[in-house]
Amino acid sequence: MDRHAAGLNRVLLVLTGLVLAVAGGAGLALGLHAFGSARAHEPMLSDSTRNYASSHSWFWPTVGGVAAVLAVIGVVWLLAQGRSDRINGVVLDDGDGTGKTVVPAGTLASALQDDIEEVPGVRSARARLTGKPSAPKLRLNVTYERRADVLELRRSIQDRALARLRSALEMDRMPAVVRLRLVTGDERRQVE
Amino acid sequence: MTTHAGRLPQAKTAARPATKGKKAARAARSAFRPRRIVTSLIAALALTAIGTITAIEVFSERAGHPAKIVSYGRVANWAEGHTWKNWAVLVVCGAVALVGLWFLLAGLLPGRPHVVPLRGDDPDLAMAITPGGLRSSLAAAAEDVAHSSDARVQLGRHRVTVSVHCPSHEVDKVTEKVKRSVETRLDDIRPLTKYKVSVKARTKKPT
Repeated sequence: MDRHAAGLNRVLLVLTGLVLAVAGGAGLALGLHAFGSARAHEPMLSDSTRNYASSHSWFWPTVGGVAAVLAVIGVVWLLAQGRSDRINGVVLDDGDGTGKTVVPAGTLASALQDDIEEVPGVRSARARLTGKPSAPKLRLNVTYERRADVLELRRSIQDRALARLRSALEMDRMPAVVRLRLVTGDERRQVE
Repeated sequence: MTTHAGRLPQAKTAARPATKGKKAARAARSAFRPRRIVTSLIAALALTAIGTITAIEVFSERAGHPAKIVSYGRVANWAEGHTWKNWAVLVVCGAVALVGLWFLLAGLLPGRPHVVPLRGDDPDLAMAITPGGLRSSLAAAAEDVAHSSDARVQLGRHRVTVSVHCPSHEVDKVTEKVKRSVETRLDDIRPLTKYKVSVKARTKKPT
């Protein structure tokens, strides 16, 4: 699951929310006499609605078609939650237009992980490259123990590990998202 | 080796103007914003289920073999027999409107991140620390002060409350020093949110 689902989620939530809020609100307004007491006393499904549906041949196929489209949107939305934009390699341009070099993402990730895991107190580092092979982005999860110095850890990641990766790839930019996670429990368990 | 690796970004960071800091703060804030996955899963599942069932019902009915997953007759009879002002209808409409509002707010409000985003100078680097990590680091800063021990930290929205144990004759001095030490640590860690620090001193021995 990556960041790209976030935008889609927000747009679709706003749309579905709007439709439901307007529909529910309209029903409430009808029932609470906002459109006159005569409308409030009408049944939800009136004869005129039924007659309209039965006298227009396009009505039910349209309802079915719209329902099918909604179902497809729902499935696409569901699948987007689990999709990942992880990339398998980073394409390096040789600069003179003669050729391209592809560096496997796994190699880069494990080099970076090894670099960060050398910092005292770091339990583990997990790196993942996402985005486009020509413009990669980095997601990094670092777990550290209580004895680690957060400031030192932050500095090591920013000024050493990431800088080394950027210079190795000869890239001026590589957007990175880093989460520093403290792990607790083990020490306590050992003491007890 | 360290000097070689450290040379590149440090030279760049030093030259960055203040506006880059704002850009970096915005990038960090948006990188850790909740993605609304649970709400989206619920909405997507409901949309898929309702769409599929309706489509199957409509097309199977027209083909002459109604699937009858949901009895259309019963739903239609219920809708015909109840007026808009009926309480059951009002409850259903109210529930639909509430769910709609919930989705709408989840989509529109930015939401609070589960981690604490950190301020940086580089718009290309968004960093965050877990609340537990920040608490533990601040507790360590509080315990660095002489005569203070057993620090407990609570993180509020814009406030950090530190409670430390100290001898009764040192309360004022220790409180002041702990406050300064925690503030210095906060300045070093640089969370995006500005926290106010308040310190409580406990003089009773923990049991």
